[in-house]
Amino acid sequence: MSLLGDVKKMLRGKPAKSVKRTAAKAQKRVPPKKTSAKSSHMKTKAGKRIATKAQSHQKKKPTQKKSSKKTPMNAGTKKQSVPKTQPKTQKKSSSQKRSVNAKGSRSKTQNVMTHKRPAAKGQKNTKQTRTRRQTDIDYVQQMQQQETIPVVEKKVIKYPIVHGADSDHVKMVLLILRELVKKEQISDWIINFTHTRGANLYAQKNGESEDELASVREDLNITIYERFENGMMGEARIPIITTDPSEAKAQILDARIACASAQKPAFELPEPQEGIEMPQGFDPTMLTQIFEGNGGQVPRAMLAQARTSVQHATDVKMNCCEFHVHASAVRVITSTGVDISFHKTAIYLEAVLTCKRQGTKPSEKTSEREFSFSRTAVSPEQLDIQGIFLQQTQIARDATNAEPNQGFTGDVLLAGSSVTEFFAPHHDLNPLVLHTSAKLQHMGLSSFKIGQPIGVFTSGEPITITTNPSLPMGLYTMPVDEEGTPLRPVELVRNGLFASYLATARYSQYLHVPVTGNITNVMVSHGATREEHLRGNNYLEIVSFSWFNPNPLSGDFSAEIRLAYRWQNGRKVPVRGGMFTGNVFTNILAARLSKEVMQSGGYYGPRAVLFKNAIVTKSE
Amino acid sequence: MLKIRDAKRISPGKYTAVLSPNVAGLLAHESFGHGMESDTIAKGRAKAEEYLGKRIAAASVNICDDPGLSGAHGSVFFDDEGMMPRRVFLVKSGIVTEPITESLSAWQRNFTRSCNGRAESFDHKIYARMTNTFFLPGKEDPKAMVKKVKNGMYLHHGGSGMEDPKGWGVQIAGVLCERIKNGKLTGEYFYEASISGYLPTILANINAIGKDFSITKDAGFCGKGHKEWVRVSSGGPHITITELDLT
Repeated sequence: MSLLGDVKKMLRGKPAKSVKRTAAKAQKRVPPKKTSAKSSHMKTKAGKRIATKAQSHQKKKPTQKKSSKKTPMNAGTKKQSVPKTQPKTQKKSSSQKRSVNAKGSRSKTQNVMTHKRPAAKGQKNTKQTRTRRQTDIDYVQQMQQQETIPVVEKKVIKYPIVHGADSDHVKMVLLILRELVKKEQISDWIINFTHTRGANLYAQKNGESEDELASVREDLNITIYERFENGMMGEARIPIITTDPSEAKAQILDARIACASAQKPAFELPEPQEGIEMPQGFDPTMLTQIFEGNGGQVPRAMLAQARTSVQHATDVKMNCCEFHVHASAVRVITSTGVDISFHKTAIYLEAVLTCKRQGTKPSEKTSEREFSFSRTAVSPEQLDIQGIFLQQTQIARDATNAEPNQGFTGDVLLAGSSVTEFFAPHHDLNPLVLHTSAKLQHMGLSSFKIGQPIGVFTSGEPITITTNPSLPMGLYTMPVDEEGTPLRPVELVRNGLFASYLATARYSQYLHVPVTGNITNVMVSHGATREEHLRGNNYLEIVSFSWFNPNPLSGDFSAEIRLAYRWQNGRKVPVRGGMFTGNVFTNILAARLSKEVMQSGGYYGPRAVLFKNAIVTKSE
Repeated sequence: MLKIRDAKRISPGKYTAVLSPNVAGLLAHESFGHGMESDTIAKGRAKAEEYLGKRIAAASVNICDDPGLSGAHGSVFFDDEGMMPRRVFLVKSGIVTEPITESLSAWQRNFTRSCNGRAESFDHKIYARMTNTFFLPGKEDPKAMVKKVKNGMYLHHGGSGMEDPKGWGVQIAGVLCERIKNGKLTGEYFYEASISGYLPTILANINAIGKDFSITKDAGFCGKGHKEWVRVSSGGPHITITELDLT
């Protein structure tokens, strides 16, 4: 209760009602970490002064008035412009209405919001005549008729809205957010909208279809920001599921509690930019098929290929197999004027093959072993289903008949999917990438320093790691990140030196470094040596891990080997079990990268990596 | 935290280990839980099928999955097929008893339905999934269990694990260990250790079960393969296992 009381206080007293974007920009000049009473007092004063300036500046802007007359929705702006005294009275009443108590704040808030909503023609009392079942479409239409919601006058650069990214739900939330900004109840906002259509196919026992599932889903998440007089900014992220405008508005206002209780130094959201590159991160054919309702054809065709590839094998069978195909329209809209949308397609394949051990009778069930694998891609062509299943059939056979690993210290070669796991284990959790993040630097958890080597490269080739949002048909190829920051390829580590922070808008401003946006596809530089020359006479080639899961901060790992080949003088022996142990930061300093490259999901880089003096423990 | 900062890598080998409730829960979840999912059994992917109705551990060993555990992260009022919670004894008095089920595979294999039909979301398939999986407490005093170990490891915390229902192999990674010497915790820490081994052997080597009990408060999630994430928790009492492979 006491905590709730504090939150109430924060909501009631602190928000800088009229300290809008201009004030926040001024706050950037003030070091955010200073917390002395003197400095906070000065900030408050500054905030008030700036607020006055901001209001007078708005009055003086003739272009804004002109543009507001152009759109019918803005026609009422001038008439309904809030007088200077109004925020004070509004502040008191709205805070009372918004105050949350244990006895049912939601209904109270909803009543308030219903009451505040303008009445349709012929309606005397909105509270009585409006129902919660009113749809978002009604709301949008009515608000347009009433012309009460002004468009926030921002620099807007128009990008075409892609098919599927336009939705009445988005329009409804957009109007609510604009209204809340106008009423100075929130400062900024971001809408992340995704319309996804999917077709999943589940098969078992040599590819018999077990189940199919087609789905359509829309995810609408909003992030709201509220600026406070002490230079801080609160942030809350909530999904909006309801299509009832009053309920949505109540949810957003409730989320302000999180804004008040989680304050961080203020920052500016990205501004819209012209000429943003729209890289292709989708398969147009697959996208059309799925969006036209024929998505099921895609996994069915892939399953047929998989079945053909496996059926020739007498000792290996497909136990189960799943294909998940998705096409999405993604849209990012922000209060600063960013409105950009793009398409994505994705395929996820997961399969389990079972194999009989050589020399056992078909009736001996215990002699069977299974081997599972998964792949991600943007298009069916990238997956090469037949190639993968033929390869995995042999791998399953080798893994089943493998000898226990006797342990090894020396040259360890990662090839194929194990390389992807090493460099992009869970995408952004690659320790090498994570330590370049400005967020980790801000938290004091990264040991990397700009311009300094990430370690002392002994026998290894100095590595270059790039985040590349433009990688053609990459799993994480996209024009902007979730905050609307335009993305571009950035070298995070260049020839072994820490070159650039991976910085979102917030942390780039905290650290005063260029903004790069969030992580996208991970590109690793290739080496100078051909793979065949990396392979010496005596080494262990790891084909597959059970799960490569390094500690993202320390880089330490200990991963069980599902299949490796012990190579000695040109002869290979399949082995399984045992642990590949080490540290990503240390191992990379003694790594040699192949000249040949591969692309898999969100990874593009060497097809093979050789680690010198690596340790593999024996299988028990 | 300072002790963890100075932690070393463990020398691979077999140790007598006292598992904290956190690590015991991970063992229950990764090894036995996944192997006892009825859809996995129906596909012929689970070695547990061979053990149904047979002894796998000492009579003091009981492993349960209970979706109705009050306040636990994996609890549900009903599963995604409308089944009400009931406690399922995966292992009762050391004998493999019954699997956790969803409707399709329960019907295929004539298993009794339990409240374990779960999907990540409405647009995902319903599978047999764990909820809160744990060892039931025994009679030993946890402090006395540590005192009995002359040379071994206390496993404080585990990071994550990977299932292998067909081979019944166990892999639990990111384990923080502390050396036990002459019945005392020494403050010598080892980080990022991994438990690996064959489940029937590990369960057969359980020689003491504590009378304490706790369920992890962490927000744990469990995947089927590398996808289909659902909320779960795990836990149990302190457990002593001999000859445990730590790497």
